[in-house]
Amino acid sequence: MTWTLPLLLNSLAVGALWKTWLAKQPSKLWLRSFSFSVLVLSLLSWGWIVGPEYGITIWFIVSGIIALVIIGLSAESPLKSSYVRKRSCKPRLIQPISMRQIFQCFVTFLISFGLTLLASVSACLVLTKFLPGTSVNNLVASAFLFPALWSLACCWVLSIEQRSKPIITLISILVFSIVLLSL
Amino acid sequence: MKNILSSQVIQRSLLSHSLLGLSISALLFLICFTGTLVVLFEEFERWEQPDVEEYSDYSVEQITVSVAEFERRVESIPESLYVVLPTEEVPRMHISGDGKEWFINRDGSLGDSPQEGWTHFLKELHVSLHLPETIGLIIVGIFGALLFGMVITGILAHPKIFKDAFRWRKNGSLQLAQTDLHNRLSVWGTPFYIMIGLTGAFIGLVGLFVAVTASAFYDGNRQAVIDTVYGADPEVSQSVSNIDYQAALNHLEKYAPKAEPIYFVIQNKGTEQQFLEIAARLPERLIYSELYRFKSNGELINHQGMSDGDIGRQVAYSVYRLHFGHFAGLPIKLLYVLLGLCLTVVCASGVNIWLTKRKHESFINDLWVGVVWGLPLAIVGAAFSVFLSASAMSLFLMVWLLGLIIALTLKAPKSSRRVLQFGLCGVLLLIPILHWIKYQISFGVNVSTVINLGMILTSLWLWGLASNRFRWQRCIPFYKLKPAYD
Repeated sequence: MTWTLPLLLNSLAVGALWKTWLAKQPSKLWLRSFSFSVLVLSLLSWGWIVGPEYGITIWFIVSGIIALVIIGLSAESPLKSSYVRKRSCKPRLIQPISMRQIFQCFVTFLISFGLTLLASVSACLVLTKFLPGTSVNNLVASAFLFPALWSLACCWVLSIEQRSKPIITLISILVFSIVLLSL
Repeated sequence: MKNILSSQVIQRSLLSHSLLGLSISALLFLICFTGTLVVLFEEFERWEQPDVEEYSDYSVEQITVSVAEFERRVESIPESLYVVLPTEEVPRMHISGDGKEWFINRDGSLGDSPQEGWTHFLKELHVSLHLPETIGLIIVGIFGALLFGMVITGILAHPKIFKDAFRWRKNGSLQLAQTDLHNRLSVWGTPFYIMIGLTGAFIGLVGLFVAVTASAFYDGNRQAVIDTVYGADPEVSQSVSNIDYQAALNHLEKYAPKAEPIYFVIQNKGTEQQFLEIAARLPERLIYSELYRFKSNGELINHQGMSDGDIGRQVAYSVYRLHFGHFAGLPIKLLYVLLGLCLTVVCASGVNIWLTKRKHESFINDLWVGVVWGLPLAIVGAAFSVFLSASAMSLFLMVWLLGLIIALTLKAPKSSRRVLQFGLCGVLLLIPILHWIKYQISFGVNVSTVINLGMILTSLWLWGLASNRFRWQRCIPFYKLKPAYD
């Protein structure tokens, strides 16, 4: 059971973070400092027990799961009164998105799909060419950046009602990248 | 967050998060759910073929005999012949090349071929949605990228990320409970979801990126790009001779004492360019393996530099284990399953929030129940292919269609959800019973028993969930259970 120590520290840290959150007072600075210190300590202990690569990955996963367990256990229990339940289950309209909007969004996504793809690929090719690292590092960094940029560009296009701004920006990136690549 | 971002940015992020999420929800749900199950594909493969001989040790004689028998069985010797060694996770040995594959018995003779059954169906559904391989892989990769975008816009759209960090108001409205559930599961799983999204996007889209990069910088030579990243094969020229596996293993033990061999690759067998590759796991490393190359006489040529080469190469080769949770043993796999389920619930609750916000119910409410509860039923139902002659794919499509029809016919989402949940309970209970009857496995601690018990426990949990809701529903006047719309 080599995982016992880091698990205990991790639980203690997330538990302390929860207590800090419950306290909701700036004067609880010591609790906040303590919880973050233990959190760092748990990260170090994970790294020490299973190595840095496994350690960081496991630390993120385990911290999240412990927090979710605490949230589940401390959740406000459902009300039993049928009157309240009936009332609370009544759907409330807070600017709901219509099916038409979703359809429009999907069409916009499909139309912008090609442009965002071209812009992100060309930007990543520029990075591959001009980043100062070795060709392997540049290629791998760009291979990770390409889908990230692509999806963020898609989200950006969808978030703005006036689509001309992102379209002009993306075309500018594309043209600028082509010029840089052809140099 | 509130101080850093303007309300306009928050609103825009929320809008794009909602619109994109609703547009891709069903497919993303499918990919996330199948991905969660695929984490355990090695265990499912063992469950599906429990009568294959299992052992944790191997011998050089065993390899020699199996390679010779493989050569006798095939018409031509493959360029790359794989001998996969037993490990703690999969204590089975198999040999493969050019699409032919057999398990290796303890005496080196070849046993059954691995079945392309339910587990294979599940893997293909996750990796390529059963579309032509490249297209499917790219589409799933795009969904990985979109998942990353959804996580980022979700964070930007969440101004009370710290204030609500541990809050789940189950006693508020249904919409509030769903929103809290969605937000808490999302926030605390963020690093995991980003990692899954980015590694998934990398796996799916790297082929596309390689093609573009090859055209831009390598005169269209894709292999040159791959060689740059992963390293090229060594150039070997020697007289043709039998491979000395024992000498290679001895050299490996001296060269890298901590390396644990997981498979052998015999490259260009029977030619002057023949050499042996031993892929070996290194402790505490996320890279899939380091590749050690040996001449036929067992002399070390080099290693590929997956473990100590450029950082980019190490990262690229760590993607697989990181994405599928295949490191540090079963506990990590179970944690991956847990967070994978959380991500699946996030996909479902996102749409649920939207559905509860609407002032009316329509066929979409029913359709969504058919997707969310029909899909698990269909995937588990496809496991009947282990006992029947029907294919997993046809069973999957039939059961899912049935689930959708039930949901759309009943026109009462709560009732159809219960029907599908009870259906899932029944299937999860029936499959282990049929498995025990068919294979008559001993009740000791083995992977089949654990999976069967896992299914029974899941079934009982679902039964409790569905029954709870059933009692809850009985308190509501019967006319409420009538179709919510016409």
